[in-house]
Amino acid sequence: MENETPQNVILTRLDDLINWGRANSLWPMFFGLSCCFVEMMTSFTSRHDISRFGAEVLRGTPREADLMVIAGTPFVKMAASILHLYEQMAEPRWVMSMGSCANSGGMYDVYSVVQGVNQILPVDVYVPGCPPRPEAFMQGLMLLQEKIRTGERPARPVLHLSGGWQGTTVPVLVPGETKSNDTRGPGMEQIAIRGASVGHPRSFQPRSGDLWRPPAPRQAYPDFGLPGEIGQLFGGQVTRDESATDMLTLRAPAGMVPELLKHLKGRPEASFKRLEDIAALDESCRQERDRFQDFTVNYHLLCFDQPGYLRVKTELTGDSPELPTITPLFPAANWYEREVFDMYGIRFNGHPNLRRILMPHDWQGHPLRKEHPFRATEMKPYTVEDARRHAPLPASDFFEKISEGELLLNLGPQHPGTHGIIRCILKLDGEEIRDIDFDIGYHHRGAEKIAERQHWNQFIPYTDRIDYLSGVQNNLAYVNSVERLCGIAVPERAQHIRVMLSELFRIASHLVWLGTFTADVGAMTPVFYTFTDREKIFDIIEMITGGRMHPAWFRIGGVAEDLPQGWQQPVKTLLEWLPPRLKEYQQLINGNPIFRQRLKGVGAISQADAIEWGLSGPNLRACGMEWDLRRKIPYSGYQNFDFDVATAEGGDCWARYEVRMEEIRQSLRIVEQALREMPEGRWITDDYRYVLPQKPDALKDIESLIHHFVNSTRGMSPPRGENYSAIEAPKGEYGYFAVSDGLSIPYRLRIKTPSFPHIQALPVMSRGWLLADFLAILGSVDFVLADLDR
Amino acid sequence: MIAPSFYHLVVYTLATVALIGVLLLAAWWLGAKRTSPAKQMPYESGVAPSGSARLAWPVPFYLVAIFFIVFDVEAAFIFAWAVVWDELGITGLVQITVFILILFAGLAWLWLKGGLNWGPSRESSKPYGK
Repeated sequence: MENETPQNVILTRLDDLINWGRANSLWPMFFGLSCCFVEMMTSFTSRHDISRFGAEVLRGTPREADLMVIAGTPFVKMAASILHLYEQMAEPRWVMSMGSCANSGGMYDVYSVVQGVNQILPVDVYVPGCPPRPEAFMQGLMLLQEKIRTGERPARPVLHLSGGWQGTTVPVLVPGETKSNDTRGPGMEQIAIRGASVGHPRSFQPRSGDLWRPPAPRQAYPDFGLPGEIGQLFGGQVTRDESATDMLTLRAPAGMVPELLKHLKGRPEASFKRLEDIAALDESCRQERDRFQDFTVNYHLLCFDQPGYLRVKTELTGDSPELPTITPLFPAANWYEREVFDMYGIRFNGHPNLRRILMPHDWQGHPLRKEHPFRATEMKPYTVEDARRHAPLPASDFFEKISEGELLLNLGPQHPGTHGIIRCILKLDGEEIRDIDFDIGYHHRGAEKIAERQHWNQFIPYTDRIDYLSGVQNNLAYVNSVERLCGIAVPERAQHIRVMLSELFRIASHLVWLGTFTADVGAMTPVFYTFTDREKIFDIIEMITGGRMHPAWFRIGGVAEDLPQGWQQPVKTLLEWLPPRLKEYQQLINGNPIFRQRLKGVGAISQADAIEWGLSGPNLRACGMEWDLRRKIPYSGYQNFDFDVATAEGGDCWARYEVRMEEIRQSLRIVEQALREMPEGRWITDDYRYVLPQKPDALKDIESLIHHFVNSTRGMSPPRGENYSAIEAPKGEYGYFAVSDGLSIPYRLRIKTPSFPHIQALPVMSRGWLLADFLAILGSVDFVLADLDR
Repeated sequence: MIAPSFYHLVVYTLATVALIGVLLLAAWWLGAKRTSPAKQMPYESGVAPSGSARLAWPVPFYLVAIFFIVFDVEAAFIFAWAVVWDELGITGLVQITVFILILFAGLAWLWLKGGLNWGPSRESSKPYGK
């Protein structure tokens, strides 16, 4: 380059001047994909304070931005929008790839993720980490500044002379040509792929099931007086499944399901008012294939009067089987059935709107079927041409009728008010919302599919990234379910540690919610305060677990390590620090007339509607319903802790705010008790069949050493069976349905998250309100997109 | 003869025009001026917009805006009156009082007729009224 255009002293001086200006005032776009964006946001708040680098003003639109930070996972469904946004940016422009997913797909080598954003965009700087710490992001920014200062010659292009270069000049990479997507690293192309990853799922680690272990223990579950009643009403058609260990299970033929569920919902006593989840299974790879039909659909129902769950199972045969819809009975079934259709190709007759929900509309195949490829690296690599070809559906396709004068507005997938990538399609009459539909699945990371190829313990890091704001709460939901399946008794100390960390994460999650929610309704300041508090919590988390957002620190049977020496002090400091801060927030917010006006009475939902639409957690309690799983169906020793269940009346945005504020205080109480009463003892169970033995034991006795070998290579294998249990996560009830075929990998892992029904219920809360209210309502329900799309 | 202060004004005007002109020209000339179909498309949260944005905008906004202008302009008369308060005396006070009363009656009428109502329809039928 330098040979072609001889340098002259004026132009080089001008180069330096322009570069100096550009490097010191970068304008990043307010664009985030997943977990990494939260760490990126953290670098904007007080402890890290990125304004020192002149890049603190996040721009809401690409027109005003010159830096795109790909903070998070580049999803196949999102790729077209990422490219579109990049092309709408001002020039010259730069791209930073933040985090392992954006760099290479990271731990998400799965059908729905592009294996590196450099396949669709040119990338200047890569920041490694999962997620990178805020400091790492800042270093990435400094590297980019360095690149602009020393690596660009912008004077000539700016003056419209020939030569010179500016902005990103590296090419977009082409898999197989300029980049290698081999998961073993570059240079391995000539060597055939070996090992379990190439085998058919049926032969996947077949020997792990040969070890003897006790059968799944039967938990004490209520039968609601149902078995006799069902026998009378439905004769022999509906039967009780005696083998079920986790909850009362009824088996019914597909045609009977709506009738049976109608009866269960309408019973005078102990009725099942809430549809918890619909989980389907592809039975084609079972070890004992002849015991199963082709597909099984499980309906999980919840009883409020007599706290407990019920499962209704129906078996289906054929390649694309059908069964009747239950949407007239439970409106919340709408999205659940669409998901089953999308993932398995099972059709629901009579469903009002049976189309794909998570996958792109033009996707081929049904991902959770066993024959669908697991990995992106098994499929054709995703390229720029694909991103151009597979644009999202136009907004007009989402409504049956659009009347004269109605405006269709896309809010998302890229919008600061949506806290992530979800596309809300609003039908507006002026400013008033007539109807809403959602295009979700932009954040679908295929976690349920990934589970079917990971050891039971290997999946723990993936749970962290489901609700990426509540860290170990995810671990707890998962291990709690697996432990119940195996019948593992968790030592008391481990339970206390789990409760303490979970409650710290509940506070952290609510603090993020408080900051972003107040920002949604126009208050800029609180987010800077709440993130400061969150960093204090992360100091504790980091001291104990070594991680920040994703500790992956719980294990099946306990926790990964004992508490470190001196862990009490930072916890005590937090317990003293936070209460006065909370008081300050309440003074700041409660008396603010704008805040009250924008929230009181806005986005209200009645208690009956909330139950009907499957709401849980703080959103349900804001309707005056005292329902908290920590109290009603205790897990992890919550029955030993003293706390109040926070409720509020009204079901509006204000009530949801009040509930969460109170929950922070109650969580502090629990943390205080855990600190005070932390018992001595083991931090992981001594049932070494299922856990990695404590190191001293493995060094001293041969039994433990054998278990150490088996559990660290092949992994533990739970008994055959299934278990659904849920916990009270910060956002609502969060359950894992673990199905074991006796192997060291789950046969199926269904993740029931709170955000899914909450988003589905949003139209009920938002119709008739103004567009500006919608952002307040959206913020008030507290959702995370990874929690919605998994 | 023209007063020297006139030349000051001329210089000032020329300087202003020259400065603004240079800035505008520089922006026009230095701009990259690269276009692409994506850049020409309106930005709508990262997806292609559908339907037209040329719709009749709802009246509440227009009404509130026009009322604001009407009352704002009339407030200007009151300022003018306040400046010459000494000359107009008590007669002026009576006249302006009548004027303000008429304005106020107009505002009250608007209020009663619901001309200032601007909010979601859901609010009027909300179940948890407060």
